[in-house]
Amino acid sequence: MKQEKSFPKFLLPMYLWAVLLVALPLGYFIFLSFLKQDMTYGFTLSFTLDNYKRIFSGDYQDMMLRSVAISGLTTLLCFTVGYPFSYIMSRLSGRARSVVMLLIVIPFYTNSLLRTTGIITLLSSNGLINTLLTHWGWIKEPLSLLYTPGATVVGMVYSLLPFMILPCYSVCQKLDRQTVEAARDLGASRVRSFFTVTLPLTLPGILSGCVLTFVPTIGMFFISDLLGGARSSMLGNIINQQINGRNLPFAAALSVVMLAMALLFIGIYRAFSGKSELEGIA
Amino acid sequence: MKLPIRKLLSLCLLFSMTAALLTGCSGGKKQVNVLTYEGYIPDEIIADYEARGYQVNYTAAQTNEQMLDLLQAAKGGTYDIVICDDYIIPSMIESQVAAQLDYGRLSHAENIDPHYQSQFYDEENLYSIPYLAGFPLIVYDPAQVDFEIKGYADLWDSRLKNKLVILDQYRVIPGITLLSMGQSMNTTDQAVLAQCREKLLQLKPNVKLIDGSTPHVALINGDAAAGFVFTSQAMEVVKQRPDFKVVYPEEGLGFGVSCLMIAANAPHMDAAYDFVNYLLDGEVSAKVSELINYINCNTAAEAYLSAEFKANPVVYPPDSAFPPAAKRAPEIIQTVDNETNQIYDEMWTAFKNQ
Amino acid sequence: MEKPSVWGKLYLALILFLLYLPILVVAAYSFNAASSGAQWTGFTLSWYKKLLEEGKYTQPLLHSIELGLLSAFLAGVIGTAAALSAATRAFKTKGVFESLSMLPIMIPEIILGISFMSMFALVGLRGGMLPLVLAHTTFCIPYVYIIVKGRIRDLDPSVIEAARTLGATKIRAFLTVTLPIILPAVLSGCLLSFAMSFDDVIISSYLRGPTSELLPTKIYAALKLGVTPDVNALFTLILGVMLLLVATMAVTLQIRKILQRKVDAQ
Repeated sequence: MKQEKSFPKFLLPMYLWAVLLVALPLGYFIFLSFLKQDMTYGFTLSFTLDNYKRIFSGDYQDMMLRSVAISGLTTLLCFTVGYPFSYIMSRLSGRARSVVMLLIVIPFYTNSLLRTTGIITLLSSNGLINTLLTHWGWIKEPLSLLYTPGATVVGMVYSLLPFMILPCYSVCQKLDRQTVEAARDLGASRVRSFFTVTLPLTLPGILSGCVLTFVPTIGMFFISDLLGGARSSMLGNIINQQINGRNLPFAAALSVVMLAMALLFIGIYRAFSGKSELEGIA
Repeated sequence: MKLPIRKLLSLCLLFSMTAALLTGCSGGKKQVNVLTYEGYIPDEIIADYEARGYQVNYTAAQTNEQMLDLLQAAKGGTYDIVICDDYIIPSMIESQVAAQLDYGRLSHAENIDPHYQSQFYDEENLYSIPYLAGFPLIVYDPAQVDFEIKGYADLWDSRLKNKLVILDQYRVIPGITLLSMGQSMNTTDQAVLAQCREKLLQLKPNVKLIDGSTPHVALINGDAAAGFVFTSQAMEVVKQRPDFKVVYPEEGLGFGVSCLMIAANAPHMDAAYDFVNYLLDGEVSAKVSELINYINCNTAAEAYLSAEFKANPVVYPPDSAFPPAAKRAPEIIQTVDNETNQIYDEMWTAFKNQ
Repeated sequence: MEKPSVWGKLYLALILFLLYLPILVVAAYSFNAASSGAQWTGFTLSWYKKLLEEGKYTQPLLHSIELGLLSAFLAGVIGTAAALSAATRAFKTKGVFESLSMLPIMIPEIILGISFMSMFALVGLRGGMLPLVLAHTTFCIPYVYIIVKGRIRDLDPSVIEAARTLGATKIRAFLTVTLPIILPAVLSGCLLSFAMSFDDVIISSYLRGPTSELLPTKIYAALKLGVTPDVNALFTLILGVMLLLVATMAVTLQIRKILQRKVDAQ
């Protein structure tokens, strides 16, 4: 088909939508981040840089580092668990594959919050894991599992694993077996052929999976809220807390920082994968 | 995605579409929109009231600030009734989202206990009706804490390391820090506040969880050994774990009143008054108190409250909790000016982020 | 093709087991007698009774379904239309607009939620379903767009051109050739949109109104109160319906296969 140069009218609704409901709210929000808080009315129309000064004042450095660390660890764990999963899954027979796919997708249609409470029940001091371990006599005192940063990571990996599996699976499925087999035939070892052929070929899926796990984790406040306890509050928690405490301008400034982090990450993705779209999102 | 999923999901879609069509018509019931904490009006009460031909649309907020925000965005409309805490009321009044009460339409106005009226937030009782009241308390598990907790100061004891659950309230926790220093919970003295911040940050190593809504769950489950919690939550702990001890801090109690208010531009004004009248009924009010375990603010409820409830030391602290045995009389958290408020807010955020 | 080893299959099974463990725990605790806490105190069906009698979650459930359907439909129309023209055209501003349109699923949800909240408050749009539909459609469009566009790109353009050369009008070619081919993609885009909308807590929690309480926000509120056995029961029921549908699907497919074989044999 010829590439037509004219501006197509069917694209208009989406672009109009993007301008009115993406660009405009985000722009207004960035504007808010330069205003002053007011107890009674939310904010007053006086320009200030205080919100940004406050972020970089030192009170928030630990929290920022912790956010990045928790998100990074979550992404890494999702990859370590999810990549082999996708690879093995892509080699199953057609029927078994659709069953596994179905099993991955079903939890999407249940409630993510309640799945998280399931984790609370498992990790609690008199929850299932501690009860079993005590019962078998492996431990005397219940382990402190819940309300730790570790519990937050577990909860996040659990919620986001499918987002790593789906794109990785999508590339593994498309993987040209002949290329891999050719490499093996030419005498490359299993490990070597994996690193020189399989991994580079599936890299777009991996990177896409990393974006799809890392970016949501920096904003996902409810998991660390429910599982994390007093020492794992993340950027998302602070923003939510500032909203509930009616400090919209400061929440906006924190969100601008978060937005910058997300865009930076996406920029890195684009630079490495040479693609503008995320691989295997469906 | 493979074929079966798509088919399956299109089935789902079809099913849900039919369901949506079937219930699109909710009937011509009279509506009333309520805004307050989750569970603050017990399910049973709502069900009883709905049996009278009303539909209660209940919006749960997590904080007072959120309620204020929702009301302001709606310019005092959308919602009919709000139940919020004392210190936020002046902001509600000042921003004109609360309606002046028409006492002619309050059929049970005489039931309101004057003891809880005419407070700093609404001295002439033009806007607010006291709903429930309570004293936050310390509870702890003596099996896990090997010393006796007597007051707020003991919460800083290093033997409580990583064992404490506290409320997620940016004025309450700095407030008890001030009480532990022998200061008022509402101080605006900059020097005192600087000391308070210092001391608050030292509490962090002991804190395992900061949770305003479900601290009792962590205590019941054994994930925390001691906690500073609201009356209702303390009751829930004691009910399920009778071995827990309840402490009336020797430095003096904090005190809170939550109030019923009608939104300035309530879309269902008649229903709003009807529901308020229902809640002010002595029998209903007694039921509310007993179901969610807060102090009753209704004189007519007296006759309906069980003797057992009135003697409950968690809800109604004994004399020993008040002066002269305690160092200070119970104190309510009050609204402070913007600058001081920001100091409280900043120390709390710093504390949480540590 | 190399089949996965037994160890590989075991690995899949283990991960799936871990994935379902919390779900099973929630389902099991919907039969637990205690009203809060992780301790098992006895078997009861009373939470199901409470759930069905009080009907506290019926309205929110229906609101969530309604919202999911509306957003998936709107996103389906807008996203498909855009994908159809974007896949075949190039023009100067395409990159900028496309990135802007895809932004909603690239940035953390909380940012989108808060900016909608403040924007809608500014223009006086509050309460009811409209703000929720606008917000959810915004993050659903990208899913439809990406899926449908991918499908069109894989499409052999000669098929449509063949139809055109055979004298079909533009509209006719679209209806008889293009649409049937992309329909599965449109449908899976819509279904993914529905799933995302149905489970969204973060954005919805900033846009709630008294007459549009949704299931996820209602559940979050209940969790904040710490008493969730009836919510667990609801969760178990939804899961049960899902599994029932899957089973029905599998059986139907199986029966159809057998019938097909019989027809073929004849």
